[in-house]
Amino acid sequence: MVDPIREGLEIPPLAVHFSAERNGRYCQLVNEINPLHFDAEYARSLGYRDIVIAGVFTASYFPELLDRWLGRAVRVEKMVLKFRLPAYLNDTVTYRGKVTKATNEGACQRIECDLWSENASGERLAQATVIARLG
Amino acid sequence: MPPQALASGLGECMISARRPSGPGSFRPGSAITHRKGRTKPVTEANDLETLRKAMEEAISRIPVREIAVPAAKVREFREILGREGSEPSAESADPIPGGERVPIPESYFLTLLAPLSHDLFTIGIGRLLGDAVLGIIHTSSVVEFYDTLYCDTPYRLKLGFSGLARKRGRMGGYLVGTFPHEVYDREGNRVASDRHVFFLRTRGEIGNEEELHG
Repeated sequence: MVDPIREGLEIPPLAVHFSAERNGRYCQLVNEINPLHFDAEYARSLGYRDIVIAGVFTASYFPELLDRWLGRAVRVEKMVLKFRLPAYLNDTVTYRGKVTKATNEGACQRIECDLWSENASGERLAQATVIARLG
Repeated sequence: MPPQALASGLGECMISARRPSGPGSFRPGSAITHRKGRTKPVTEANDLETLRKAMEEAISRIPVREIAVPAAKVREFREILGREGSEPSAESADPIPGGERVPIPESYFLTLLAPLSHDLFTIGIGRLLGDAVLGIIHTSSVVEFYDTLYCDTPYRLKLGFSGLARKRGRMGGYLVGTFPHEVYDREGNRVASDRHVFFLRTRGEIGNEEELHG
């Protein structure tokens, strides 16, 4: 567990490889209907270089980043997401972030974090502002 | 602008002839009843207000879904994320008299809403706009949790519509639609929501430059 949490603290990065196996399992889980997320030929016909990983899947790792960092479940209260560029099949996406605000509220602590994901080229793919409660 | 510059989030959900027909599939070129009972493809409507009303009507026809997320499904999801063998932690959840329930992790929330987005693509946008829409792009979300969600507990998922604007970019025309996804418990309490924004890439000019909010 990380303690205490203070403004400016950097969150340890989390690297995720979006392999065919991982993406395939996710598509099965949600009964994916959009071929962009499982059909490479289709994706290329639209001008993408490969299968595009669903944003709702890639965004799952923002709360996960906090969860893994703190070593305990975090109660996310609000998350503002903006998608900028797609993550492709076989991309390794790194999730990073830092704490921008931390306040103590009795036995609880509320934190606000700026999180983002980037590909191997350092391009920012998505960003999230997350408000979460600890304790 | 290359397509990938616009594609993000869910990515584009194309209304494609390759998609199988039948319930739940897109039906390009569908017509709607339009003004005084005449049937006219909505894509011929050249004002955004008409389109907004048609969209509102189409979304209102999408039924409220009732779901209960099995704990096994959440377990599988966490395995996919790379949390093999782990259970969602109950320590962050509010104590439940009479036993412990497994909370749904926030990381699962957007996945939980996937059926609503599918309804939006198929029943809503697909049938309304048909092949006038080249692709649907998830560009942003505002997610709020008001209470903990639990596995194996029934929730109602409701899709809404709160705004439509027309924009023009280097790739052509597109519409910006805001579609609230809301989750209610059986008592009717809203437990979570997501203000989903989609860009709808269009073939031609649909609507005018005016921005409207429903």
